[in-house]
Amino acid sequence: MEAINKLSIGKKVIYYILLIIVAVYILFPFVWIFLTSIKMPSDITSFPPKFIFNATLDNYKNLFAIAQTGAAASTMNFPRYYLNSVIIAGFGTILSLIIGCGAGYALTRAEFKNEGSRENVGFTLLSFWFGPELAIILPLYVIYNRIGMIDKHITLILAYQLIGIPFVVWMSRSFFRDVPVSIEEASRIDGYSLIQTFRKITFPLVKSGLAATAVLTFIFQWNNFLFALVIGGRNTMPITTGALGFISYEAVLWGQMAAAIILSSVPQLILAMFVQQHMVRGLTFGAVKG
Amino acid sequence: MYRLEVKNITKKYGKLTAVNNLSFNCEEGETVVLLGPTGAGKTTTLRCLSGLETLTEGEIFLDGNNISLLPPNKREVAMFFENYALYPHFTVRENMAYPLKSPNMKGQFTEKEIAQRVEEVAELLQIPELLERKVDQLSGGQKQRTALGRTLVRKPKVFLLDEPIAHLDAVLRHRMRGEMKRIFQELKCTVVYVTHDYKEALSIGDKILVIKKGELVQLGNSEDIWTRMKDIFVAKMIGDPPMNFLQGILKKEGENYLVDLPKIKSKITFDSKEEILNGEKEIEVLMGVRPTDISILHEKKPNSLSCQLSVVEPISSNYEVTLSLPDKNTFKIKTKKNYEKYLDQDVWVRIDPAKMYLFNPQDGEAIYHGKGNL
Repeated sequence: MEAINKLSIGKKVIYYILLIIVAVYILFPFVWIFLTSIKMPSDITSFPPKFIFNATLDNYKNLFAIAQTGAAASTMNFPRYYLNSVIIAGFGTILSLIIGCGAGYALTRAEFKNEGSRENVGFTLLSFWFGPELAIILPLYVIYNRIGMIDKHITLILAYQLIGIPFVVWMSRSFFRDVPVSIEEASRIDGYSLIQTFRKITFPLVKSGLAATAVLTFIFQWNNFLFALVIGGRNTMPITTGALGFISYEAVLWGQMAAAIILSSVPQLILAMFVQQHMVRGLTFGAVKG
Repeated sequence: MYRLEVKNITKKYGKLTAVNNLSFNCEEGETVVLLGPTGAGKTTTLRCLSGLETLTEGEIFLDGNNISLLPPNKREVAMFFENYALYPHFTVRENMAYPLKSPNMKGQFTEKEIAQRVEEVAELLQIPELLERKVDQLSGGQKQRTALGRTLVRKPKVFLLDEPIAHLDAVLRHRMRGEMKRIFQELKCTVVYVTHDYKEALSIGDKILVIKKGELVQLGNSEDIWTRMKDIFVAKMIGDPPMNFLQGILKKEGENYLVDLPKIKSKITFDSKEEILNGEKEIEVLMGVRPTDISILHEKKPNSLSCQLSVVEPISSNYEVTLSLPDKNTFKIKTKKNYEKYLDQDVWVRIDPAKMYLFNPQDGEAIYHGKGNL
């Protein structure tokens, strides 16, 4: 902000106009969805859009009403979907972090007979991200189906590792690479075992980066749609696919859908705020030579 | 106080041999210096001693126990890293206290004793005012002393120091060299010290190992290394400016020996009771003379060479004079006197046979030392 205060008034005006344009561009969908979520059905579909209306929390209430009326709503169980999302993305993130960090650490520290294979292994893992999810999901469906694993939480958690682990490996690897090997060695000589060294020296140095990675991993898994659609089922349906239920033959429950979306972005917002500082530091961690 | 024995250690990285069959002992309270150029395997040797590298062959004994297979945290050695390797998220105090808080030391010190010990060492290194600072707020010299503090804070069986003062500025380096020696004597500790600087080696080492490409070239005290160097490699390593070399032929002339320097049409005669020629009639030699052992004359005398005075560089209280020989080679001498007024004039320089060295040009082995052979 200090840098802005030094600008001349003309420049300040331009600066703020640009900021406002960016803010509107980014925030408009959120605002729109939020407004939709507190409108009556008649207000939602009115044209031109109403910005002044009687606000209502009915949409939110209906989400949690167990016995619901209306053809589309009768099959909806929003709290259940929400819980599914939390379970799948939550445990999925934890698993990705544990496995991914270990792999990332090993990739930076382990001795490779051929130095080139270090990059190859890393790149192979990352390349999971390049291919279309559809290419993976069909074989995965066939395998899961054959071994009777469809519609189980663990199934989705495992499938999400395909997104989570490569990401965590790739990110954590760059953080570990920034920790000089010699300080780990110094710690070993100072009388600490490998694990104690990791806990006391390495982990504290990478934890802000890992926090940012964890949040991003969680968001990717929370937002995933395709895996959940294909290998999820009635019992494991998360919000992303669950929200489809608001669209039915008879009607589209725009209001409830909007309310569901607003609620489903709450955990991401909280997490993002919680680690915001870490995130900024974490994502630039690799850029600054320590 | 512990005795370190290194027996035939070899360290290979794939096909590259970093340390080859190196053996030495470091007695209790003794300082052993590993001296060699970059890439000689000094640091690798130290890393083998600390346990950071596993030996390909050989054994290391500390106090009679074989420690070759122990992990670094069980070896009870302290090591100073050339790049300091300070913990960036700790303060100076936390860095220095870290070894004392290790699981190995559990229960040995109370918090208060740790604080006290850290302050003592900080006092010794003159950094007590830095204790609460974070590592990134320190200058190079301060970091170096913090790292040294972390090494000295506990009482390990052996100290391993890798170029501890190499990266300091000249003034500080000079002071720390003396400091180090004093600290080692005060703590009576067993030290293995790595350096590429011959001055540090000569000043600090009780025993000096000159290493080249992972192999031991010469082991001796500073006098051995300075006056009875094993070969041309050691001779070149020690001294600034380095030793001057002239090609010549050694023969016998009556009772005396004679070094004929045909390219510059000069002869140096000297007598020696030793048999240098080994029965040969004459042999090719490289004659080495240190820049400090040459004096400038204004007239021709025995054992002098004619040359032209081409450059005079005043360096602190000395002058380094570059002389051009008739064969266009140059050599340097170091003197107290300013010869600037003789610039571009022909002069003579006398070589003191008692301070010259002869080497075999083929294998570089020393065949004659002015002050006597090994």
